[in-house]
Amino acid sequence: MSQEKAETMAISINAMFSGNHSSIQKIDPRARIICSFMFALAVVLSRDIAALLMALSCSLAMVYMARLPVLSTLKKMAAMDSFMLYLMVLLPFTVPGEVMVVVWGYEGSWQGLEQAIQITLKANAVVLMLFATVSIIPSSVLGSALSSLQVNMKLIQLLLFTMRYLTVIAQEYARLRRSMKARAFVMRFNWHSWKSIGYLIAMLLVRSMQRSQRIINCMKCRGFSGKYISYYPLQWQLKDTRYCLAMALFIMLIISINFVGGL
Amino acid sequence: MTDIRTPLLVVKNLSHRFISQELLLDDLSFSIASGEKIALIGDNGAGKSTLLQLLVGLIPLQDGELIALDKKLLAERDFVEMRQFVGLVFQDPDDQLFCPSVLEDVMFGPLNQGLDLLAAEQKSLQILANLELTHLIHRMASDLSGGEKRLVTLATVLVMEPKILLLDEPTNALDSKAKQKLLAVLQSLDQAMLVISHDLDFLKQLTSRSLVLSERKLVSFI
Ligand SMILES: Nc1ncnc2c1ncn2[C@@H]1O[C@H](COP(=O)(O)OP(=O)(O)OP(=O)(O)O)[C@@H](O)[C@H]1O
Ligand SMILES: [Mg+2]
Repeated sequence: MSQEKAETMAISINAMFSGNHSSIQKIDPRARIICSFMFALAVVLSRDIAALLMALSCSLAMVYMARLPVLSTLKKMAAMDSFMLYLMVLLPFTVPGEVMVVVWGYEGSWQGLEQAIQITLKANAVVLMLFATVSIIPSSVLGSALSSLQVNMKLIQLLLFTMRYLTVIAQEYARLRRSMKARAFVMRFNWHSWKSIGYLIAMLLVRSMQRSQRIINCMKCRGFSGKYISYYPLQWQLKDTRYCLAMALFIMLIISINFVGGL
Repeated sequence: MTDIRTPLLVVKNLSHRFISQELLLDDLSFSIASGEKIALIGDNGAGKSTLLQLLVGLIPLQDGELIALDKKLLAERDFVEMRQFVGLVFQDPDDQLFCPSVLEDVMFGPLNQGLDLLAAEQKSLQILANLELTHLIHRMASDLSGGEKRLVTLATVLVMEPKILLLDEPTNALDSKAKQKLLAVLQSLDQAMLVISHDLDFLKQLTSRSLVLSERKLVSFI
């Protein structure tokens, strides 16, 4: 492919990044995927609170640079962190160790709390990093990026199809729910409600199966023979190498703090 | 006049019955000549959609014969070949559009036909421009309106330059303006067409003869 052609393609890809023109978005998706994956690995294996705090601040900085919409990001994080709150309350009472509090005769340990805090920090750091770097990649570009990273083609197709048809299934669900509501269905804690929801889910499964059959039929009609060709050429540039180097240095720093034992 | 033209597709004595159901299609015979525009009419559940899928081998043929371009279709291999020149537009656009963006969806067919990226893209952009859909190329199919989805599905099939178009209720979900646009597009095409619709007015303006599916049998009207 000619340079000029690649550039016009790059412009059209950029046009797709509707809403996100941040500096993060300009980094090659492959660089972002690899670095975020390595980052996640390092964070998950870390135990040192200082290292985890550093990782979290890095993720927050990335979120800032990616110019994610604040409100919806906070909402998504709140959903996860409410579960983390639950962990903070429960874990001290299930992990043995130095007694922190005693509630109705049950002993809560400092070690348990420490673990809960670790898990919370890890989860937030990893998820925020993925939000800032990977979630803003449009799905078609994601397919190309993964395939040029030699990810198995079947897996990529599965991912892309899931992304496309989750919305269709969600719409189908909404439609079924609406039609139930229109016939005066109200969710209550009784047998009729549970049975109806059971039917709803079963119907959703049946429809998904029928739909998948129709989709493969449509694909056959358009000459599909098992090979899905992905496009959107990607061009590795100097700034992508720089990004990778910076991330690699940071990841090594996180790992080494674990061995030194805090700052 | 239709007699002089070479038939692209010939159907002989086709019958079909779904497992443990009554006979749905009984001994149908007809042919489609090049450039001919035919309406397929029938009640709900008469078997129109089933017939279209039988024609391209998506439902296995039970009884009868299909001949495309003078070649009898027997194995799946023959159907794979014939689907290169017979384009089917399905009743539900959501079944047909599966790529993350409209442009990719339109490129899917040409790429399968062996075109390279550049050629496939240019051809797709051309078709999308003809249908005045250029503003949609980077949108996700799931975000489009019903009418927009319809026109995009038509583009995904037209781009493959089929000799025959099989259209299953193309006017579904279209408002009258969109319908007029679709009609103009279809009228301007040289391809042969078999069009299912319940919109008789639309069919009258587009097609030159009709096949009526009624009580398992096919009746032909000029
Ligand atoms: N896969 C299947 N298995 C069993 N029966 C089927 C199957 N597909 C369709 N049928 C039945 O075959 C009959 C014809 O269906 P078909 O979809 O071909 O009708 P149609 O003429 O396209 O109707 P409409 O105008 O409503 O689209 C219906 O009674 C339907 O229930
Ligand atoms: Mg039908």
